[in-house]
Amino acid sequence: MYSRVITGTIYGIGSRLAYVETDCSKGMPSFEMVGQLSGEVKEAKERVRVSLKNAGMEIPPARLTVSISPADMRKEGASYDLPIAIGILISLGHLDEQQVKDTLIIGELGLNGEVKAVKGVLPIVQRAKEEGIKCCILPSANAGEGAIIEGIDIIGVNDLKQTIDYLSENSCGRAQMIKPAKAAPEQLDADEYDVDFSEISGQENVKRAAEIAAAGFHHMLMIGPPGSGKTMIAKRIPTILPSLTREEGLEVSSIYSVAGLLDDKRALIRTRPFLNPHHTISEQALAGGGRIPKPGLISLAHRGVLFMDELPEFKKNTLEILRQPLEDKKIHIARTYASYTYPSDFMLVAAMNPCPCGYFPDRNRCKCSYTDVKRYVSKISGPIMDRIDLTVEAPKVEIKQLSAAKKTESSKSIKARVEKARVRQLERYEGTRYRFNAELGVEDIKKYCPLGAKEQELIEQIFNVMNLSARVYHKLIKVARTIADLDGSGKITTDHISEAVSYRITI
Amino acid sequence: MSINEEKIYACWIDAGLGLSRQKKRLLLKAAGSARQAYSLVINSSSGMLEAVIGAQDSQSLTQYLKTITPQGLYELLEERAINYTYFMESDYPQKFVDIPDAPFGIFYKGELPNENSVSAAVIGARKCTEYGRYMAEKIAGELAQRGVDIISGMALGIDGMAQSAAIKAGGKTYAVLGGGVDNIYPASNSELYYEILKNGAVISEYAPGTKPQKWQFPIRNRLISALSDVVVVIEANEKSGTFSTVDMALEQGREVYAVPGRCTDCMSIGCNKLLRQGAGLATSAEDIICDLGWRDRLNPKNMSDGKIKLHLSQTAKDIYDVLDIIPMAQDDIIRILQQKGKSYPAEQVSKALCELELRRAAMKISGGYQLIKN
Repeated sequence: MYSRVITGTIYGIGSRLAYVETDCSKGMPSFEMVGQLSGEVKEAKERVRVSLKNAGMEIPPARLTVSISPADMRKEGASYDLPIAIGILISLGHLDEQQVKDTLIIGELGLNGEVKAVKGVLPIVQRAKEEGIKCCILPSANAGEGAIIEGIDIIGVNDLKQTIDYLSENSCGRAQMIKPAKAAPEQLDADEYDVDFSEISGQENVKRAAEIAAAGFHHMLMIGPPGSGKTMIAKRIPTILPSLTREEGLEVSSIYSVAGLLDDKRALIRTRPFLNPHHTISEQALAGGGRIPKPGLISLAHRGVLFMDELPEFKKNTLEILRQPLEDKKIHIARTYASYTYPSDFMLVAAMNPCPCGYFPDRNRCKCSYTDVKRYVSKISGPIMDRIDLTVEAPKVEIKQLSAAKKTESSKSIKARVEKARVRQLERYEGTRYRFNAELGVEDIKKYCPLGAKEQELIEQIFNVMNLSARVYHKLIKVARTIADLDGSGKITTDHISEAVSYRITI
Repeated sequence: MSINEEKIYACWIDAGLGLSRQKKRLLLKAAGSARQAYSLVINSSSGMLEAVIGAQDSQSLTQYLKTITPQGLYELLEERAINYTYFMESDYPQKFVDIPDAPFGIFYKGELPNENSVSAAVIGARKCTEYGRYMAEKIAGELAQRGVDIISGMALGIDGMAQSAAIKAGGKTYAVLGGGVDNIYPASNSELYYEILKNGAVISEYAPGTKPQKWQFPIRNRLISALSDVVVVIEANEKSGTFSTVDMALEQGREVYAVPGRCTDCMSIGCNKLLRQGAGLATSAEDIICDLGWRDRLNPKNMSDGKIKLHLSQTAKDIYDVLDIIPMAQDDIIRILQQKGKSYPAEQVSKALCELELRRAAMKISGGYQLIKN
């Protein structure tokens, strides 16, 4: 007899529905599986056979054929175990196909029949809902993750026996047996961080730069000696970024789900990610990759902050990888088996020492020659520097300042200003591909950032006196636009421009 | 042909490999003239050459003869606009004549200094501080503006800054190099090199094509001091190479001046030590000009030197009082203002700094904002 069970498969960070088709016919007893299956999917054969036996369901000698379609896609992972087991039971006549109608099933089986957690539940459930599926049977460990998607019943199961019993019941009995999982309410609106800007004393200018960067999603660079609080400030930038919308949260959660980093306690990501790769990180780990591509750190930092401390210490090749994602906000990875596109719309916050020893221009401590200093800075290529809109110096913090630390402005009140600036940007860019000022293309700067005669005159004067290059021009205007948004001004004024000038790079 | 034939042969001998200054002079003296010295090399089989300069050097000279002829060498130099003069010529700088171990000849690009003008060497550390940079530019610029030639070594740090300040002030400047005159070292000063060619000369006793070697620099230093009437040390740490120039200057009877610095700054230790040993104290070009009685020989002082009155906003005025020639990060400025009881938000300070920059009263450089005086 033939049966068909719906399941899902991950593709990049998206997903597709897949179908487990099973046929049981007379003939030489065998168990064949087809459909471009990877090693771990083929091994399902043994896991399914033994776990069925341990659930009290012996497979009679028969010719079993399992096909997972669509056949042109490679299948990975152990999430097909449970749908295969259910498919076999239907084809053997133990269950009825009507009982799995409009139901998506995923889960890995243990030999004792236990249903184990799998990766990528969130994007699969999301897809299932879009395709009109009414119910999802998931490992109970993944139920919280699936429950984030509203409008679809999520049934978390613990073992194969329970699954069979559940499917055998009528709708009334089912409701009594397992209640559809609900997302923990605090998961839906928790936007809490365990750090706060009020913990930073002094560094007013660096904080202001961080606020502007957060408001316009500008990439930023902090230059300063060791111990000037660069890392502390970077860690707190997610706390002043606008809150993730539900859609953005789902998007970020999907990436984490595919990477297997979601758990029940953190099913829906509501906080902006903060990633802090060490400078020895490999190119693959940063960009994503592997034989079967997995999202890299730049994708895990999607909609959040990628903090690169000691920027010049990163390998040149590693830094160059950032060029495409910084421009396109996504990264394409092509490998033998697949070619995936992962989103990577992150805010780059970089930090560096002014020279190899860190103390330049304090000549009493810095022993680096000018050539050393230049060589150190030139490790960062022009194209990367070009994408960094704001640069700020973080000076050494005096001990006196630390001991006299009084609480300064909290992240919450800074964030309130940032949110207002964001609303202004959303209004201005309605119907376009832009969301933040930093994304503005050169061709649209004139359209969205018109300058008055007085402002134009100031800019010309600035360029003449300070001897700036044309490259700086567009950055300057974009930053001035964000400052104006923070100020609640529709027009860029000379005040905004003259503040923006102070964030230019001078190395 | 008006080219002095003797010069062509002298140049050939000078550019010869491995011959010491003494041997070159010895050879010239023994042969009677440069031309005759050359014929000695041609007829080296006669044994005369060997008798004068020894077997090893005579062999290497004969080898050298096979690679290039005097005429060939001279044409090559002409092609590259490199000039040559040696101690028997009239255009050989008079200042070199009196010093011990004077160079046999010098190669130069550009024009040699006027014998009647006064000159000052402005020298110091390569790894200088912002203070050193400021003082080098100030003193060299002022001296050059008054018509004093600035001599230095075109090195990174003080040397190069003094020379570019001299050019900016419209004066003349001469660089004595540690390698051949066609070898731009350090390469990052190549812009300055071409500026110097237009406003003075680069000079070297090493044949064109000679790579700068570490041991050649102290030897070159004696020419820097020899070419100057006074040596001004801007910044030097305790064991600076600058001291070799100072020692040469004292040996050659040149005046030595040093710019004082704070006792705690390691880049000023050398200067303060010189001052203790009796060097002249230079806080400005005027100090040197006064002491040496040059006032009558020089251009009048430019009267527009004083502080320009700026119409600034109150914030900008307060910041201007805080700024220093040592760059300060903006947060340092905010902190110092706070200590003075003036709390300005960061954005207001940013705006005021832009105002100061536009008035050319401050400048943003690596490390923060710096005060510009005058």
